[in-house]
Amino acid sequence: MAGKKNSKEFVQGVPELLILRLLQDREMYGYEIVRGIRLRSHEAIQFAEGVIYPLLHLMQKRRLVATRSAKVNGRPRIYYRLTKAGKKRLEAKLSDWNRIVGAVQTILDGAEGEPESI
Amino acid sequence: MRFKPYLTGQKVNQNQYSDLQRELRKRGYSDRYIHRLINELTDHWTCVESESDPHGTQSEFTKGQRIGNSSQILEVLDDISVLEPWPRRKPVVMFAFFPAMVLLAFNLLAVVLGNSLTNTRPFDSIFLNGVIATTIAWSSFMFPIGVTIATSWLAVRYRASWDLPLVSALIMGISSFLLIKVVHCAESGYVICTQSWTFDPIQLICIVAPAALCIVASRWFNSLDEQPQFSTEFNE
Repeated sequence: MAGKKNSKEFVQGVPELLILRLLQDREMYGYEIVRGIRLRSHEAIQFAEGVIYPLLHLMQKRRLVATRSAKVNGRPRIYYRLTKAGKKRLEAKLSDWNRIVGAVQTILDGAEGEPESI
Repeated sequence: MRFKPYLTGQKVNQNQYSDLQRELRKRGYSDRYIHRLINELTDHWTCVESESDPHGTQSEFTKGQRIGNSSQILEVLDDISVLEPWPRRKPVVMFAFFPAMVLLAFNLLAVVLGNSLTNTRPFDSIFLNGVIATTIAWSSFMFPIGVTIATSWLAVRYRASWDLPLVSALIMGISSFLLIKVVHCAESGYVICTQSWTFDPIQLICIVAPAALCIVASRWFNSLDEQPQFSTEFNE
């Protein structure tokens, strides 16, 4: 069970990192976040856009983001912004991400410390 | 209860959202949460429509593909639910057993404290006063638990927010009070008596504490789904 939870956390980690990073600049609503991810990744990252909402709700529950509602053209819209906890989480996630990317890159580059073949 | 998608409601894939609503209800999500999610998806749909398709030529299928279907959204919700605390994943357990357990714990505490104050062993009086007293005591004890479970089941069944568990907690509190009085009467050998109908601090704790805990727990449980209040209004 713990393994499953960890793997889910790992899979969930990347979208969370992207969302936190985008919200660092300014508050956004769901569509803006998705659009931001798509444009900044030059369309490389695409996904079923509706799945962003359950993730945002989870982040809200964890107090990583706070919300504000507004009525736009008569319909409700929820804006998300980063909280203090969210900023801390972003820093931690960025650090983790850089460490992992660096480690993977080192392996891909065929760095030293390679185990000898038997 | 059906929710009306805003603005371009007719264009929104009604079947898809009604499927999603039905599945979310099955999974125990509150109406408030479903309402919020559908509204956000509807808003997203409208934005996708206006983004690249001002003349409305983009097919419903394409827009649907971009936003994702019910099963994709449900899959993510299921994945996320693994990360949630157990009360969130098992609302039935939360609402059906938590109040009952709290009631049981506080009544046991009251019995122990009450008896220690009078230097008698716990339960002595209940068991020594015969079958009738025991029956009355235990049936009285079971009554508030039954009421709590019934109202909690209603709360879960109708995806109520915190109001039904609140009612449940209040009924439990009142029942606890009556229970204590009936047990006192049974202990003294009378079904109807008047001498024990006075308040003491322990009884007050037995009434207020379980009710307060249930309210706090159910409010916390439902605060997870709360939709933020509207703070501004503007047109694009």
